[in-house]
Amino acid sequence: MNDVAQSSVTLPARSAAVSAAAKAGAGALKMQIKDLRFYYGDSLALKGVSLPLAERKVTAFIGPSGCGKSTLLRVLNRMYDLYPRQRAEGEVLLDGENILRPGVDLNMLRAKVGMVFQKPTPFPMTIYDNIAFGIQLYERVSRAELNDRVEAALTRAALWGEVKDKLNASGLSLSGGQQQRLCIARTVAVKPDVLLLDEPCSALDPISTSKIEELIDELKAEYTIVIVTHNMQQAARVSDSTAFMYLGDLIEFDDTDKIFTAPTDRRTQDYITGRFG
Amino acid sequence: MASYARRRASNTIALSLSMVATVIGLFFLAAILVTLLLRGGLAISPKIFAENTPPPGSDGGLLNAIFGSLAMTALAVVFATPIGILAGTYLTEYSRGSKLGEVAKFINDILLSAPSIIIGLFIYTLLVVPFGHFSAWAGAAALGLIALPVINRTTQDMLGLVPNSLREAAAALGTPKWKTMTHVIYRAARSGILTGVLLAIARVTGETAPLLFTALNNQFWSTDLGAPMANLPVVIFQFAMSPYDDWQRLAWGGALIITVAILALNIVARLLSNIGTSK
Repeated sequence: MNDVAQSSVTLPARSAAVSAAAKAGAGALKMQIKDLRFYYGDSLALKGVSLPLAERKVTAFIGPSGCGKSTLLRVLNRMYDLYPRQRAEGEVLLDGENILRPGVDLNMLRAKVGMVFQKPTPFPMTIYDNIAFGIQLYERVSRAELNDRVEAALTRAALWGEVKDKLNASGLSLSGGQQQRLCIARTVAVKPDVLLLDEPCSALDPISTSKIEELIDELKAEYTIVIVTHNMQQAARVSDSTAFMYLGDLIEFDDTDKIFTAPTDRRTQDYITGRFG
Repeated sequence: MASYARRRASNTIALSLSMVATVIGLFFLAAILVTLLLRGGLAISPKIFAENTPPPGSDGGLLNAIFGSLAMTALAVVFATPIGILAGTYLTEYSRGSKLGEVAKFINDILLSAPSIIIGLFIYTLLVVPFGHFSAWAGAAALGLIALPVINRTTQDMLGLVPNSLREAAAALGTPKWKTMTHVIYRAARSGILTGVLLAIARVTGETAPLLFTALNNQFWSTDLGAPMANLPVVIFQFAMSPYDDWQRLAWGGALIITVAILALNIVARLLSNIGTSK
């Protein structure tokens, strides 16, 4: 009986999803989430979510607190695996391969699917080592090449100009906005395919926020980006498609323009107009 | 208005009471330190660091006891630090939620407050009785056993203070767990763990009871770890109880040396943890 209820909820969402992907024109799907259910212990946090993530596009997850958008994001790199009482059911395909399957090499998965967190999390080491650390996890590179890679990553994250004279200073000595860009640089340096951003600007001032939004716009040329945000303007500014979630269900998924101008579901409309949440 | 006046009055009373309590506490600490400085200061001379403990009635120093204390403490720390840090790491990072881990943590906390004389007796039956004689090894083992739970517990506490977000950030890069520990988490907790080791040394330095049962004492210069070894706490105990003036003077000197050493360790530990938190 439960199953019936769930599929009836997810069906419209799935058809909306398909239409969005068709509209995106690319057709290239980087990831595909299929009927995903997620449990914290015994409580069900995602009730069968299905969603495509288009390659080299920005997808935003929006919704009120507790709706499951961060949970969904943390499934995409299996971050939940750190915690024994959390588990996921269903399928998440990355380039056609199910990453929820047991026996997946989590470290390799996370090298492909990088993540930036809400609060900046520089490692307690120098700015240089913060970047070099990730690179050296996967590759043996000469000092000269490492220098180039660090510079390239910092440049990519629009931070090089600000830190090039103090690469040996502690990563913790930077401002909040700089720390967050350092974390983006660190993630990008590993050359992932997908970037997961979990409310990356919620701890930052408006100037740092706009810098990071510009950065997202540049990065999407190379990466598939998924961003969780509480800030509706941000979702409207940076994303190509938007998923609205509520109480563990995917309510509506479509092109960002469509979601913000002509949402089909009443709850989506209420949320983006600020009537609840 | 009346209630406001009453509130002010009770505030004044509570404030005065806590000030009196503070003064009482500080008075005894100051009294001990001043007495130590006055009486121990008289005994401090180059000789105390240059000559061994004398027979009653003749001149001497505490060289063999100072050496013995340093040697056994060093051995104890070398033995307890890696075990303590590894155990603390396991209990915080790897045994989360497991029954065994919870039980081990609890037992460690009991060990933390176990009377040191019991530790001494334990090592006595384990390392003294079977060999038929007291030894510096046994002394070091007893001190190590006292330091171990301290280091274990501070390691647990300090690793617990490292925010989970840092573990997630390292995992998000695809860092293997061992590398996350050695390169990120230990680095973040380094000064705290080091502080724990220093405090364990400070704790162990003044222990007398376990040494009475294990290393005992030695009147002469000895570097033989298989033989009884002189050490400051037991020498102080023995000399202070004696009727001889010069022995008693040396006991004061030894007490001052130990106190200054512990004070210094505590100050360094405090500085270290300040560096750790301000970063």
